[in-house]
Amino acid sequence: MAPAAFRVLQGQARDAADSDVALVAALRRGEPQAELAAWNRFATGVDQTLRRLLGPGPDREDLLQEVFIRFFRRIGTLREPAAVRGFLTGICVHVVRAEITRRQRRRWLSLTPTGDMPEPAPIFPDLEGREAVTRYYRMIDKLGGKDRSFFVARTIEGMTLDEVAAAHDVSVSTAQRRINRASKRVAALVKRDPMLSHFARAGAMEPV
Amino acid sequence: MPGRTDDEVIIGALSQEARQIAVEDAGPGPTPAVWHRLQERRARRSRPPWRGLLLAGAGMAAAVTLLVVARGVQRARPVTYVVEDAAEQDGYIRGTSNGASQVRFSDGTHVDLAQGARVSVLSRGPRGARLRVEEGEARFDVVHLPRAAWSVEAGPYVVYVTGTAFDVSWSGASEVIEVRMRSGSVQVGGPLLPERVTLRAGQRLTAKLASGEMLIGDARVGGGDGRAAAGDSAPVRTAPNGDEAGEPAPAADTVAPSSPSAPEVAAVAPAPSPAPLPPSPLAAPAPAQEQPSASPSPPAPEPAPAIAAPSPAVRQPSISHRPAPRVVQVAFAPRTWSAITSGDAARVVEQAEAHGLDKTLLEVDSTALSALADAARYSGRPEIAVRALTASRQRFPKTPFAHAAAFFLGRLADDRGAVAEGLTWYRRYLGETPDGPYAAEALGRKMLAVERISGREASSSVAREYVTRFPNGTYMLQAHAILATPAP
Repeated sequence: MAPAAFRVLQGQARDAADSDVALVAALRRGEPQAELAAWNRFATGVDQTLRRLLGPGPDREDLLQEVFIRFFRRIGTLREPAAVRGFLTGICVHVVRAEITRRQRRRWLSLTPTGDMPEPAPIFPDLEGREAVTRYYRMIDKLGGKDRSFFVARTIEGMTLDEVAAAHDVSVSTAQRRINRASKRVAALVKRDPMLSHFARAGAMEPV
Repeated sequence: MPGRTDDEVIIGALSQEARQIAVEDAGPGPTPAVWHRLQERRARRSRPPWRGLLLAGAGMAAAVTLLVVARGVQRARPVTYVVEDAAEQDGYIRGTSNGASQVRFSDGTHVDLAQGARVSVLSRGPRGARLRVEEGEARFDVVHLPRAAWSVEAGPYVVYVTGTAFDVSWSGASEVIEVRMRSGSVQVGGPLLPERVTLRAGQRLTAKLASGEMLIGDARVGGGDGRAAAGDSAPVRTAPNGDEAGEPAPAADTVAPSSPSAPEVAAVAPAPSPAPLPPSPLAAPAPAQEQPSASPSPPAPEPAPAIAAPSPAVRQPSISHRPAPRVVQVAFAPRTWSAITSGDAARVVEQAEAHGLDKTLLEVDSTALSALADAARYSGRPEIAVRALTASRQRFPKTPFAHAAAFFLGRLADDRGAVAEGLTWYRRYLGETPDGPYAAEALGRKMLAVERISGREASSSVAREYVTRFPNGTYMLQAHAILATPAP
């Protein structure tokens, strides 16, 4: 048999964690294509994280871009390459916190509740759930930038207490204290809203 | 709920609803156009966040700037080029029949075009340019200068160059790229390559998208399909990271297809009979797939592939298992990629419609079909995306394009509320390529679909698989939520 002069390289996908590490290494080496690869891999996840942290509303492409701008700028500071997704979530938390602060400033100066131009109300099937969530976020927004960030990161984004503390650069006990305080306040606000209170209790009772 | 306070119950329920709404609102995710705009924003972003420090250092910076500007004026000029003995038309430079067509750049780099070859200069910078081989063969002699930055695109592939001599040929019709090195080294990135591959002098890379074959060998070896003859020079083994191991390649390596999951492909339900391309799956959905049922149905058989795909153990030329239609070059192929990445997806769809959608779906190659599906998704035309993806699966079965189409068909079905159909496609995708590029997303969506159709308990096994396989995945929270909730 003739000796083989060619070798086939198979385009096998690698284990997700290994790929993240390799991608971080490529980003740190400054390979131009690595940034696009990072975008392809993480953009959808970041987009969803931003949606959870911000609540319903129009697409915030500017925030998504801001997350990636910071990510590419700070990739050199990431200590553990395998934790790149947590690193991105931390950036999301900071970006959203800044956005909420900006909104609160604009709300004080402007007429709309969020500081943004009002959007036409879209038609969605789950109107009750959507209405409840919109009200829920409105109450969360009353917490103020810092407490809101702690609360949303823990309860909606589902970060662990350690992750919340690390993302906000505070101790675990401080994070816990802020979350507890925010939770009590949000729960009190929800109980004062009959629709929301009913929805929450009905939702909790529903077999899932 | 035992162990939880009233406050926790309220907040837990509302937070769960908030997560659900976020999932519903997510849609297909950011489009490539967002990436394009991000790049533009980064490019024009001149105001750094440390404005205070900037002001403080403004005086010093001004002095430095004077020096930099003075030198930069010289350096920042993009390279220029002149075209000799070639036709320039619609942004292309076309090699004329006399064979002497050449593009000469101001830094000494020159590109020789074969007869009929089409090349375009996408952008120019002070240290190089981005070129694209739209069709045919071109010879590149890139002058090696400090920090030279040249790249050559061909189909979905990019050749990164600092200074070297090499030839690139691309055929949009057969979706084959060939890079032959004459001196120096380049890196090549693109489909079928987990990472960039480094090619050195004397090497040749041939990639056949349709059959998923990627061959690297001796450039001196002839043969259209890259097959080596006896007595050829020693084979070169190139690892995915581009390092040469210098070991002889095993004989079996010469004939493996790129799909890592070839055995699983056989598990897909066999096709009952050949079928023509459907006019529109959205317009006339199959009832069994559209209606969510109490329990998820097994994957339904697909329309038969027109021609059988090659056996995993036998190399076949990629062109041999396609219907060999007339390939539309005007409306599609090479330009499509740049149109999509520049956010002009709508134009791609318009081109397809202008040509005739039915005709386009039957005629274009798999790359263009996939690009059309992407463009349709990005421009909010799911009905066209579904048709393109369905055509991709029927015309190019068992290719990476067909596998990816299964996932996107699932996502599109999911998005329009056809959860059961979406689930069927996710299962099919995961069956065909368990470790494919969309495996995490497909498994996460499968988990949610099973939960919706059959309840949380039924989805717990999928959630467990998700947590094990993708502990940092996007659907990790939902998976944990499913696992944390006891079955009713």
